[in-house]
Amino acid sequence: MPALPPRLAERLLQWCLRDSASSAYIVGDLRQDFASLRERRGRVVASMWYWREVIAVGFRYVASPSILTDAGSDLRAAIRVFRSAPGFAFAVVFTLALGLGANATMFGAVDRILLSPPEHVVDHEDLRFVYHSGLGSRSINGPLSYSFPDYESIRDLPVLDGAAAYRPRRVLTMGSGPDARRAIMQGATAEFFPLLGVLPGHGRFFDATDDRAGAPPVAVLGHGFWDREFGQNPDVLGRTVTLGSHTYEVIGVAPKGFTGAQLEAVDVWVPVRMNVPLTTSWEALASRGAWWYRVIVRLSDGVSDEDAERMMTDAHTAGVTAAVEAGEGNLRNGVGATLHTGAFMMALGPNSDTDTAITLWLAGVSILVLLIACANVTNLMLARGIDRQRERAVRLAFGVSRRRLMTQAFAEALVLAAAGGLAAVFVARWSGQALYSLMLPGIPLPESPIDLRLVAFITGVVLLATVVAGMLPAVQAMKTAPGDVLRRSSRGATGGSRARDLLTLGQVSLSTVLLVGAGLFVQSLNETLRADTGFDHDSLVNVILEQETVDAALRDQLHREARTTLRSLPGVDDVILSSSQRPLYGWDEQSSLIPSRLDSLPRLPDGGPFTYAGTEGYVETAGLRILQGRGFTTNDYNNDAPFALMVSRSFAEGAWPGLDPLRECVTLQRGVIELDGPEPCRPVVGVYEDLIVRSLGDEGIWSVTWPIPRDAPGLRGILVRVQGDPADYVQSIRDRLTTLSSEIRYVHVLPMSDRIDRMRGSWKVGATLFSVFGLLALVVASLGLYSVLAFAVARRSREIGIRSALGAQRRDLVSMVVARAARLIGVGLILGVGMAALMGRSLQAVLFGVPAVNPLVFSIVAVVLVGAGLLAAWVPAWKATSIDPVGAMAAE
Amino acid sequence: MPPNHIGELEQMVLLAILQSASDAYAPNIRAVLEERAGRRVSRGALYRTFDRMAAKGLLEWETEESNPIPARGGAPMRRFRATAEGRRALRQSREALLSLWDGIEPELEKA
Repeated sequence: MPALPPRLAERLLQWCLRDSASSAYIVGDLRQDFASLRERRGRVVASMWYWREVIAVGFRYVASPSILTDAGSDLRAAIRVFRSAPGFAFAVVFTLALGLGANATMFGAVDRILLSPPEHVVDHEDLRFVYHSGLGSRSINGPLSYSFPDYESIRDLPVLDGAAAYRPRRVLTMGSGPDARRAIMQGATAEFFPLLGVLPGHGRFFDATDDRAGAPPVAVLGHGFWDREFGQNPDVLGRTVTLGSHTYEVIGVAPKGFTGAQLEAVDVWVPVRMNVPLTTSWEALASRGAWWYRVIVRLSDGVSDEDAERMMTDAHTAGVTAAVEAGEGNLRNGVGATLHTGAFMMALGPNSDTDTAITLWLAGVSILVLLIACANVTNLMLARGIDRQRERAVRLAFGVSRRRLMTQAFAEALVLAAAGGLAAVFVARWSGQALYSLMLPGIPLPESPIDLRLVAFITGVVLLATVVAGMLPAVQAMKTAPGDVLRRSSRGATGGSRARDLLTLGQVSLSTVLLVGAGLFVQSLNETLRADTGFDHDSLVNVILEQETVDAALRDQLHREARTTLRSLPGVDDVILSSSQRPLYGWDEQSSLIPSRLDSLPRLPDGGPFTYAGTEGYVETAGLRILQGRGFTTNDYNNDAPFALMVSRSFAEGAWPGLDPLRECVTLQRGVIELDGPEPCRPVVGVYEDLIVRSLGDEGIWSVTWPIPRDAPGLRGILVRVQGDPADYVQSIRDRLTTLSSEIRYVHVLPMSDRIDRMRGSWKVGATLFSVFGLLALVVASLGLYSVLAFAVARRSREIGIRSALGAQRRDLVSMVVARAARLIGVGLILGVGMAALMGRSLQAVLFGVPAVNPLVFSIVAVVLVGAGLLAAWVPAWKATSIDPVGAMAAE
Repeated sequence: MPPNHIGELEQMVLLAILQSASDAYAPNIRAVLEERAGRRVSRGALYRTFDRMAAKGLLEWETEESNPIPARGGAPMRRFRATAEGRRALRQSREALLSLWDGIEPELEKA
C-alpha cells in the first residue's frame, strides 16, 4: 500500500472537484507528487505541501470565474488581507486555532469518556451494568463487583434479554526472564460476546462448549495483541499462546478496536467457567465471597429499569438465602443488598469517579476558552470593520454597490474563518495525542481523533464568530450616508468602542475564572503531595513472586529464601513477609472480626475493617505511627504466643468510644486466619494512625494489624524498606530474585510511591489542563486588550497630537491609556472572581484539601492579570507618547 | 470569443503537449512549460485550462487505467493529445503572430 496523502485533505479536494471530469486524474497526480515529496522531505512537509496544493487547486474550481466572477475576485481580494493587514489576520487565525483547536481536542476526549460506547457494541442503550448497594463497599472492587453465584442467580430472569459476567483484568506474564512481558487477560462467560453484539474479526468467539469446567483451554485474541505478537498473521487460529503457567489454543481474533465493555485495551479473552487456575479458580466460581466479576444485562423490550432492579434484587436475595440455609459460610452481608442498573458507559453510571467529574469540568473549561476566543475574534473583526468605515464610504461615494461591499466584507470573514478553522484542525490533531495520553492512559487512541461531527462543530462556530462580527460594521456602513462617515472620521470616529469594551471585559472575566480554576487545581495537587497516607510510603517497595505452580509449602519456602536474599542487598533496611500479596493495599474482612463489647461490626460507609498481617518487624518496616500502647515485640512473633493485635485510631474510637482500647480485645473468626482451636478474643496492645486504602482523601478507615508467627504458613507478599529512591532498586531486586529458583516465573517490583502517585492522577490532569487553558485564555485576553487599546490610540492620534501640542506631559498621555486598561481589568477581575466564587461550591467536590473560595488564589490571579494587562497596555501607551503632533494633524 | 482564437496559456499548453509527444502527462506538461518557456503555472490554473480547452475541443485525453505507478493508489492517469482543431488553432495563431511581427524588428532594436 503506497503512502497516501492526508485523507481529510483528499476528501476536500474531491469535493471541490466534484463537477469536473478531471477529478480522478487530478487526485492521482497529486498523490504521485505527494509520495515523491514524502520520500524526499518526510511526512510533515509533504502533508503541509499537500494541504496548500489542495486549497490552491480546490479554490480554482470552487470559485469558478464563469459562475461567480465577482465572488472570485472578492475572495482573491479577501485573501490579500494576509498581506495588507498581517497582524490583524494573524491574530484572528491564531485565536481561532488555539480556541477551537483546544476545544475540538477536549470534545474528543469527553466524547470518548462520556458520549460514545466502547466500539463494536450494538444497541448499547439497552445494556446495563449491575451495581449493588446496602453492603457498604464490601469489597475493595466497589459496588460494581459481584460474585459468580450471584450472577448465576439473576442471569435467567425473564426481564432480561441476556446477561453476561466478566472478570475485568488479570495481568499475566508471557515468556520468562528478560523476555518476559505482560498481557491483560479478561475472563468472560460465553454469553459476553453475543450480548454485546460484536462479531469476531477472525475465527470464532467461545461458546457454551468452551465455557464449562474441564473444557480444553481456548482464547480469543485482542486485535492489538494479535498485531504485536503474531504480526496479524491469519494463520494464528489453532496455534497456542502461553500465559502465566497455562497454554491456550487460539480460536479467534476480536475485531479491530474492540475492547470489551470498558475502554481499556484487552489482550486476551478466555472463558471464565473453563476453570483454569490464574484465569479463575473453582473456589472463585463457587464462592459468594469472591467479588471479582462485573455483570452486564440487556433489558427486554418494554422493561423499565425499576422493574429489572426489583426482580434482580429479589432473585439475588433468594439466592443468598438459599445458600445460607445450605450452610454456605458467613453470608450475613449478602442478604439485604439492593441491585441497581447503571448506564453501560461506566462514566455515566452511579459509580462515576473524580476522573469523570474532572473531565466534565474540563469540558466546561474548554467551552469558556471557546467563548473567550469568539469574543476576541469578534473584537478584532469589529475593529477592522470600524477601521475600514472610511474606505467603504469612499467606495460608496464612487458608486460601488452596497451589495458588493457587503459581499466583500463577507468574503474576508469567510477567508479568515477558513484559515482559522484549518489551523484549528491541525492544533486539534497535534494536541489530541498529548491530551489522550494525559487523560486516558491505557485507553487506545481512536484511529483519527477528529471526526466529522467535530469538523461540523468547528466550522459552525467559526463561521458564526467571524462572519457575524465581520458583517456588523458593514451593515452599519450601509445605514449611514457616506458623507456622514467621511465627515465624522476626520474627527476620529470611535464607533463600536462600547461593544468592544464589553467584549474585552468578558474575556478578562472568563480568563479570571480559568486562572482561578488553575490555581485551585495546582494547589490541590500540591496538597496531595503532602497528604498523609498514615504510613511511611516513600521508600517502601512491594515485591510479588509469580510462581510456576500453586504449591503452598513451596511458596512459603520461596518467600523465606527471598527475604534472606534481599536482606543482603546493599541499601535494604529491612524485609518482611505478609499474608497478602499487596500489604497495605487493605484486605477487607468485615464479616469475620468482632470487637469486644459488640455482637458484630457496624456497617462502615467506606468498607472495612481492613486487615494487615506481617512477619517480625512489620509495623516498623511499614512505618505505621503508633499513637497509644506499643508495637509488637519479639515475643509476639513466637509460634505459641498469645496472639496480640493493634487497631487503627478510627477502629478504637468507633468500636469503643470513650473507653481505653488497650483494655479491649478483638475476635478473629476462622477464615481470616488459619486456626485449629477455638476463636480467642485477642488483646489490643496498641493503636496506630489510620491508613488510606483507596484514595488520598480516605478518612476514618478502620483497620486491624496482627503478627504472623515465625513458622506460620500463608506467606504471599514481600515488603522491602530501602534507603533513597525505591526506583533505583527495582532492577536489582528483580535480578536477585529471578535467579533464586526456576520455580519463579516473574518478579513484580512495585514501589509504593508509584501507587500513591497514581492516586494523584486526576488532580495532575486537572492542574495541567486548567493551567494550559488558563494561560491560553490569558494570552488571548491580553491580545484582545492590546488590540482595543492600540486601536483607541490610533483612532485618537489627532486628539492626542493636539493634547501634546498643548503641552500635555508624557505622564498624562500614558495614564490616559493605562486608565482605560485598568478599568477593563479591574471590572473584569471583580466579575471573574465573583463567578469563580459562585462556582466554588460545585467545584469543591473535585478539589483536594483546598477551599474553593480561596483568597490566596484570588490574589495571585489578580497579580498575574494586572501584570499581563500592563504588558498589553505598554506598547499602545508608548505609541501615544511618541505621536508627533504636527504629523498627526497633517495626516487628516 | 470565436472558437478558433486561443489565449497565450492555451497556446503554450498545446505546444508543450506536442513537445512531450508520447509523454504528455500533466506533470510533464507542467515541467516543460517551466523548463522551456520559463512559465510557472499553478496547478489549479493548469487543470482549469485543460478543462476549458477540452470543452473547446482543442485537446483530448486518453485514460490509462492500469498504470504501473503505485503512488497513485489506483487513481487513473491521462495522456493528452492535441486535437485536429487544436493544431489548426495553433497554426492560425502562429500565422497571425508572424504577420503582426512583420517588419517590427528594427523598431524594437531602437527601443
